[in-house]
Amino acid sequence: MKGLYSLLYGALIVFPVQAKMLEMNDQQLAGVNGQGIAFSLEGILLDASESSIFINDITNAAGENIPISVHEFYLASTGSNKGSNLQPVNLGRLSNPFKLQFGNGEDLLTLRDDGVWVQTTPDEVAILELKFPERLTGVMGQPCIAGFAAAGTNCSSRLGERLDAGIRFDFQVAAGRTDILNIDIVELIMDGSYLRLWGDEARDQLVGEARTNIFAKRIDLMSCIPGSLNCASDQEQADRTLSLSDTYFNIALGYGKSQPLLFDVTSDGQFVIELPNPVSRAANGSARSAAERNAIANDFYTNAPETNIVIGNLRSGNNGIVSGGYNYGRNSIEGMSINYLKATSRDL
Amino acid sequence: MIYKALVIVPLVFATTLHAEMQALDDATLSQFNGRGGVYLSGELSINKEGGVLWDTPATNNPATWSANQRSCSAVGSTVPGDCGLRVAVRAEESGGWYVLDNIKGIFSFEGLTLRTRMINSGFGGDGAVFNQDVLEFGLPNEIVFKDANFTFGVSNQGGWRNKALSVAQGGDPSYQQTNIFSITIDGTTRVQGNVLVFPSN
Repeated sequence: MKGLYSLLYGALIVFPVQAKMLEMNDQQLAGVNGQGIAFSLEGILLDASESSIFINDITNAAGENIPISVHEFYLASTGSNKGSNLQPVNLGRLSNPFKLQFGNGEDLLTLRDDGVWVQTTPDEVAILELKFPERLTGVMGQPCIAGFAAAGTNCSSRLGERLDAGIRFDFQVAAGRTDILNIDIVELIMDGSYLRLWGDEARDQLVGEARTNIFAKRIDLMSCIPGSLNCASDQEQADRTLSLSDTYFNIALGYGKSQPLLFDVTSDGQFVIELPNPVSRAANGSARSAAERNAIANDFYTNAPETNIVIGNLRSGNNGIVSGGYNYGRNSIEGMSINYLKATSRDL
Repeated sequence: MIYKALVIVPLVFATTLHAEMQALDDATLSQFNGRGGVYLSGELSINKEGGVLWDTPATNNPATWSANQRSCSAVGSTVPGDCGLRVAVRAEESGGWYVLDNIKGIFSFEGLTLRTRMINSGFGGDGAVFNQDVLEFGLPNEIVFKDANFTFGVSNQGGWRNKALSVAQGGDPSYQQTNIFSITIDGTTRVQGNVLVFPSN
């Protein structure tokens, strides 16, 4: 084994000496197109139920640490019955895998809600893109949520290539009191999600675009530990469950052409996430003419990805197995675009 | 006893002499395809006893630390803790820093494999269309974490400074770091499956 390690180290040391790195200019970088690595996950299963995981550094008003203990964390094939039967799953088809790649701004396309592929990133910029399995239009498209046509049929992952995921957070709010949030997700896919990053020359900073698509047949939020006091029978568990069925989120942050997402930390050490006003000023701070502002606004309202949050059916106190509870029906926010957003952290 | 030893010695010599290694030429080597690979088992320990930058002080009160001391124990803890690795990234030319701080712990795993594999069948019909070689990372079935930890935060300087000390004492009162959250993992996590890697186009 030692011999192998020293061989590996040797290889690592030799390679950098032979492969001298040369800096590429923007022109050369823009010529790099769609080159990167793709990866598919075969037979994946993650089960952290045997380990103890804590989230710290979240404090109460008195400055005391409120540890969040993480339990029942799993990723597995669908049909896991809330994590009780874990089986491996394939994620990311060979034809539509996960990708980490360099793309030219002109060549990265995004599927608009009406089914048209549009360019959202600026021209002549080399962009680093991390993307989930691509969406598929046409006859090859799969239902994004089985049996729920409203979510569309333009996903690439097939029914057997979806994930059951779960996690339980125990918030140790005060001595003797623990609040539970138990999340179980059925048939989850994130097709069409991406994170694109590039450098904005006028702003001298890292900017990007992020789109998070979450499609789930069902999301259950329960407020107790299964099997504990008052949380054993189906009825008791249902009484403490909020169920979201046929749920999808398309969360779009940033439109590269006129409203990139700005990641920033201020000079006094607080983080800032900002979506600037797309029309008011150019990136370098100079004013724009009315005609220019109109053109940008038209393009923004036509092409910028919009945020949708749709819950096909929201119920509390009823998980579909037992009767009773409340049915809140369909809840949705559709076609929302964010004109301006600035979120910053603050020390309490 | 002496006789037995005498008999065994010539045997050992004889076998080593017979098994002479022959070099394979390029043509023979090129016929080997997708056999073998790498099987790794190991234990990785990052800053378990603290790093080289800071010594562990005797108390958790920053005002009493010397210039090269820092404690990274959890909020409210009375026992000083060793500090782990720190990575800071600045996203804007004159902005602040994103920080991954206090990365430490022991990770051990058994059977991480690396090999190449031809895929031309399976995968619900996708394999036959795909028909090419992939690099296969076989995940170990279990990863054992021991006191693994990291903190995500933001700060106004890349390097950590003690804000409780004056500049003359080696500190920096203007230093500001906000820890957003930190994660601590202990115990065994089951991670199985293969990651198949291939060129994207």
